[in-house]
Formats: sequence, structure tokens, C-alpha cells
Amino acid sequence: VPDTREQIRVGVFLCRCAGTVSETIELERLSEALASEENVVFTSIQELLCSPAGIAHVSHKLQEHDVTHTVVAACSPREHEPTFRDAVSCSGRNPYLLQLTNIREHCAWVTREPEAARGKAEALLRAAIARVQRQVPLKATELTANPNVLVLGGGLAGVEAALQAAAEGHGVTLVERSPSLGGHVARYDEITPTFQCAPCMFSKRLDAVRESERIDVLTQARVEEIVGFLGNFRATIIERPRFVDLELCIGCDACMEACPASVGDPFDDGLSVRKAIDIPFPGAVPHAASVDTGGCVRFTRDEPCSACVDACPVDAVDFGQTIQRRQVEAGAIVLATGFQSFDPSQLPSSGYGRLPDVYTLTQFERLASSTGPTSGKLVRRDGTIPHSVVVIHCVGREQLGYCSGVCCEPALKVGTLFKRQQPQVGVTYLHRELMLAPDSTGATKEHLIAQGVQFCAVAPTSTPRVEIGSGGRARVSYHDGNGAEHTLDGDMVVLVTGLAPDPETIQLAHQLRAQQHEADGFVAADHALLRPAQSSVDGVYIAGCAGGPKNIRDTVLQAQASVGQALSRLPLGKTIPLSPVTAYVDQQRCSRCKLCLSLCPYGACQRDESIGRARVEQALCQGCGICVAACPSAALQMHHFSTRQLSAEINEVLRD
Amino acid sequence: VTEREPKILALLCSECSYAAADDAGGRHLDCPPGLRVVRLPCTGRIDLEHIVRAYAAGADGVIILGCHPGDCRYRDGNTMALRRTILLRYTLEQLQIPPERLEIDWVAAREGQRFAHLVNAMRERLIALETTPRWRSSAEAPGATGGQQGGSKEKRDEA
Repeated sequence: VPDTREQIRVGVFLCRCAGTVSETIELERLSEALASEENVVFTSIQELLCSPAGIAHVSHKLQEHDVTHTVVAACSPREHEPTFRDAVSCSGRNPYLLQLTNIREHCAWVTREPEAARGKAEALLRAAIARVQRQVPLKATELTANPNVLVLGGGLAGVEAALQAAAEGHGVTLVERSPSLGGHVARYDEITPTFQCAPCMFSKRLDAVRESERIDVLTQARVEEIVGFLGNFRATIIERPRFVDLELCIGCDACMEACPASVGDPFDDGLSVRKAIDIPFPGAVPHAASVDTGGCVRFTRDEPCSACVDACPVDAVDFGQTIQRRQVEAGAIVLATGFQSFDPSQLPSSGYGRLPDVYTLTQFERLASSTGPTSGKLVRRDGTIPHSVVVIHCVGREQLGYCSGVCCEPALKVGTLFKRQQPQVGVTYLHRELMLAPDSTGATKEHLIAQGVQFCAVAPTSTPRVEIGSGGRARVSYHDGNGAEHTLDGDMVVLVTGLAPDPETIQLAHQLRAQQHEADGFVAADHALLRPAQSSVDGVYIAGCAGGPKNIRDTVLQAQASVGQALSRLPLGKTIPLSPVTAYVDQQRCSRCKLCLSLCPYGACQRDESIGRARVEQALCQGCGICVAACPSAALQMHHFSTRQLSAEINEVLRD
Repeated sequence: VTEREPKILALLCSECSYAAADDAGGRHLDCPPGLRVVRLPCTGRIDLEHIVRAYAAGADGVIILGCHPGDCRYRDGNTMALRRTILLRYTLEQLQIPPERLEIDWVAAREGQRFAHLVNAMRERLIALETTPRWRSSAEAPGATGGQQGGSKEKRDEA
């Protein structure tokens, strides 16, 4: 039964579409048949409704006949629904009191017989007339958006994202779990494929972060909780105490000299030791010391040591610091939590942890670094120069279950640097398929071969085994593509390990309900081709290796893209329009079954804590209607696709 | 039994399948004269009640077309529709409605050809079945208890 609250006056417009509809469907007869439908005040046939003249005609007729509800029979709503909504809107009517029915693609163009085509068009129009009378005026709501961006992860991707957002005038909170920004890239000396100096490029970026007034850096920090949606996220961040006052510390080394305790240096991946109070690396941001509670005797042995406190010239060391919880509000989140390398100690056949001179590629990066444990000299643990080096690719390939695709290129650094530093050293690569970018310059494989570097293809299913050989050297055995077994000796072995998502990436994805790739657990893009920097959650963007293994260039590209996407949704001083086509709950009918909570792909169906019944967060709802169809109590309904509207449409469209 | 053009209700999502129907139109591919399209945001919106009512309102067949698995704009609305369809088919059997009268399939936005093929194939199948469903000639039309306008009218027409 149509609404009788107020007088409904339906206006029906039929479009000839420049003859392409009217040559099949006799619109005059159609018009006559519809004129007697309930509440229809007029029907009008036009040559081309979407033309300026057509639009003007629509506006004029709506006014002339004081129309409340409009039906347009023309082409696909995918093409012209916005056009006619605008027209209706400009005439002072609610744009959701319009129904556009497709008598072109779905009728005139696919039905050869004119009688049948007209019959079909009549059914579609009757359905549209019945439906439109049940439609209700809807208003697009506006959401006040917080313009700030929360960047999680202070590696290359996070730093680039933060700088980009700050440059556009947005406030940024940059959260890093370690004592300094920098991530993996801070450990590199040279970057493949161009062999440019990494610190020269990256330290400037870190300095820019430090100098920016708009970027708030939180270190030794992690996310405890994130709630909210695009425009209004709220995160609780926990900061572990560093026991050094960032405001006071001047970055001298007085405390380090005084400290009696040593710990393995995580920055050098355990290849060297550092003091329990230390600055992670030269140029760290913030440039301040931090206490490692795993090494400091105050924590490990409960001794009242105060060597650093006494040594500090500015009284910056403060063991009274405690864990700080802080609320951060932001309109968008950039996930830049990166990767972790596959740990080869899980794989005894790699020899890692059993033989002293078996290194990961990351450790080799530190050996090659001028700030590393050997000041850049490529030597074994005993200080001697190796005679032969074996580089083993695809370590952990089977365990990870996928090819990371980005490790082959930096692995060429081993051969290149040895040939530069110690040309007499024999370097052999044991590889499967080599994943090298076609535009890689400098260290191409051919260039290395010309210098005597060996490349040996290993059978795709065989993992080279590293065992202890004569004189403490490594004995590496592998099968080639023909199944023949080979062995070779190496004084040094470098393991090229694949990339897995950082555990924090996985945890955050769960917290945010962001989709992950089934195969590897990296955060999945909302659309791999069209929205590669956007996660499945509106307002949450992906930068760098959190979304899968990436090289440096692609990491920077995605970091910049993620911020571009984020800021396009958070224009300064403007609000975000929200579609009114969403689900809503009639709480009186809700039986508290919670079915909708588990079905909603966006976490929009939530439990109203005060009364224990369901509610829909309008800002999260995407309007799919999955919950509406599932609700056993019919408590969930949907604007513009209500059961009442759809039932009327279905009934009428099937009527003879 | 007189041969009557079967009425097919096509429930299409606004993303892939409605676009495929548009594509079929753009290519001027013949589609059944009895095809009636209703557009939804996602096939996940489809209430089983809508389908049962459709038979009561005169549909000879209902075809649900969604995005291909993995392509759903809303992640898994299409698989939700599949599950519900499978469930409903059991019920239809008990109501003596041949489950062939309810179809679900996937079609991408550019697959106008496939769309036309699927709806035409459904028409053939419905013609091969009894055109006038047995349940409609009796008073036991499903959904009749709902007292829906279309349903009751349909019964009157048939009588």
C-alpha cells in the first residue's frame, strides 16, 4: 500500500534516446498504458532526456505538475543516474525520490519483437512507479574529518609517508617501536641497483622528520588499540620508557663510556656488542640514548648501578620513567610496519648459527658498512680475508611458500663489493630463477660474470645444504637442474632469505580488520591494480613491505601514493560526504543474536554496549546489504534497498 | 499445456552483473522477452523471502547473477548469496518447486555474451519444464500466506 501521509504525485519521463529506443518500443502506447497507474500525474516523451534541453524539460515539468516522485525510463542508471539525480535535486526535490529504469540496454536493445519489448518496458515502468512511491528522502551526511595522519612504522616507507603528509600541511604522528627511526634501510651502506650511498640519501630524510614541526615522532612505541573509521580513528599508543629524557639528552657519549654492561647490538644483527645505554646509530632520530633493559644491570641483576646517571652532563638519565599511554586521533592510517627476514636458524641445513661464517644478507650489509663491526672490511669472524664466498639464494623459499621477488638484486651486492675490495676472492652464486629488474644498472649479472663470479643454477626443488667441512670451512652441496650433485667449499656463506610480514603487521591487520593475503599474510590491497596503496578498510593505507616484499623504489612510490590517497579523502577544512545508502537497525526488533557482527565485512555492525543490541556505524557501512538479508529478526533494514521497496518492485515487474 | 513465454526474474548486483546486462544491451544480444531485471547493491542483499515471493508473483524462474568468486566488491556477498541459494533449493524441493527454477551464477562486467547465454539457457530450461508450474494451478502457492498483492493477483489471473 503506497504512502498516504501526503499526496504523492509521480511524474514519468520516457526517453526516445534519439530514436534508438523508440524504433523498437512504441512509446506513445506505453505512455497511454501508464497514465492510469495510481498517483501518476503525467507521462512525457522526450527525444533525448540527458541533453540540456531534456534536463530543462524535466525541471520544468516537475515544477509545473508539482511532482513529488520522479520516474525516468531511459538508459542504464550506471550511466545517467547521477545526471537525473542532479536534475531532480536542482528542482528542489530529494534526489532519492527518483527511480531510473533501463528500457534501453535491458529492453529495446535486447528484445527484437516490438510487442514483447513494449510489454517488458511496461513491466519495468510499473515496477519503477511502485518502487519510487516507497522511496524516502535521504540526505548525504557529512563527516567532520580529523586531518591528521597516523603513520605506523618509522622505516623508509613510514618516513616518506610522514614527510609527504607534512609537506601538504597535515599533522602526522609517526610511531616507531625501536629507539630510532630508520628501519632496515638505515643499516645499508649502498643501495642496489645503483650503488648509491644510502646514509647520504636517507639521513637527510630523517633530519627532515626531526626538523618538521608537523611530525610528532613516538619511539619505543606500539599500538595497543585502534578504533574508528575514515576521518575519525582513535589509537592508544604505548611508549616504553627509554630512561633518558628526550628534551635534555644532547646525544653525547658520556653515558655509554660509563656503562659497565654490554649487549648484542641489534643494529648490527648481533655481529657486535654495544653498551646497555647507547644511541642506536650515528644520525639516529631522535638522536638520544636509550637504555636496553635486557642488558642494564639495574634490570638484569637488580643492582643499583648509576654509572650513566652520574656521567650524564645534563642529568638526562631518568630511571623514574614509566610506560606512557597516549591517545592519538587521526583521519587516516598508513600501515608501514614492514617485513622481517626469514630466520635461517629455523633451517638447520642452512648452517646458520652452527658455522661462524654463515651470514644472512642483512648481516653482510653490516659487514660492508663503514659504521659496521668491521668498519666495512669484508673479513671472516677471525679477521682473515676469505678465499671463496658462496651466496645461497632462496633460503626459506619452501618454508615461506612463495618467492619474495626482491632479494636477488641486493644479493648481487656480495659479488660486486668483493670484486671491488678483494678481487682475488672467488664468489659463487647458487640460485634458482634470478629475479632481476630489467633496468638494473651497475651490478648486472653479466658484469659480475666478466669479473669471474660464478652463477650456478640449482634444481628448483633442491635446497643447498651447508655442513662443516675441513678446517672449519663450510661445505656446500646442491643438485643442479639435471639432478647431478655438486659440492664446493666456502670460507664465507651468505644466505639470501625471503621476506615475511612483520608480526606487528599481522597484528595490526587483525585489529583494523584489514584483509591479508592468504598465501603470505601481508596486508592485501583493496584492489591489486586500481587501489594498490589502499587496504580493504576505508582510511587505512599501505606503504612499503607491510603490503608485500618491495624494493626501495617501489617502497617510496607506494608510501607517496598511500599519502596521496589518504589526503584526497581528508582535504583540510572540509568534511567527508557519506552515502546515505546504508543499513540501520530497528533496535526494538533486535534479538541480540550477533549474527550481523560476524557477517559485516567492514565491522560496521557493532554491539551497542549500552543496551546490548546491534547498531550500524554509518561511517563504516558500505551499503552491501549482507546483514540485512541475514537478520533473522528483520531488525536490520537498509535505506534505498528496503525489503518494502524491493518487494514492491519484484511484485510489479512480474505482474502480467 | 500451452506454450507461454516464461518469466524470469534476474536479481543483479550493481557492480558486475548489472554492468554485464548493460554490456549485452550495448552489443544488441537477444535476451528473453520474459526477462525482468531488478538491481541490488550486491547479491548478498538478496533475501530468501524475495525469491519465494517472486514465484508467488508469477516468476517461472529466478536467476541470481553475481561477481565471479573473489571479485565481489563487498568481499564475499556473492558467496553469501550462493550459500543462501543452496539452502533455499532444498526448501523449494519440499514445496515441489523444481530447484532448476532457481539459478545462481557469476558474470563479470564485460561478459555481456555470457550474461545473454546464461539467461537464454535458463529460458530453454524453463520451457523444457512445465511452463505453468504445477504449484501455481493449486492453491498452495508459496508465499500465499504473506497476502502479497502480486501473489494474490497472480492466482486470480491463473484461475
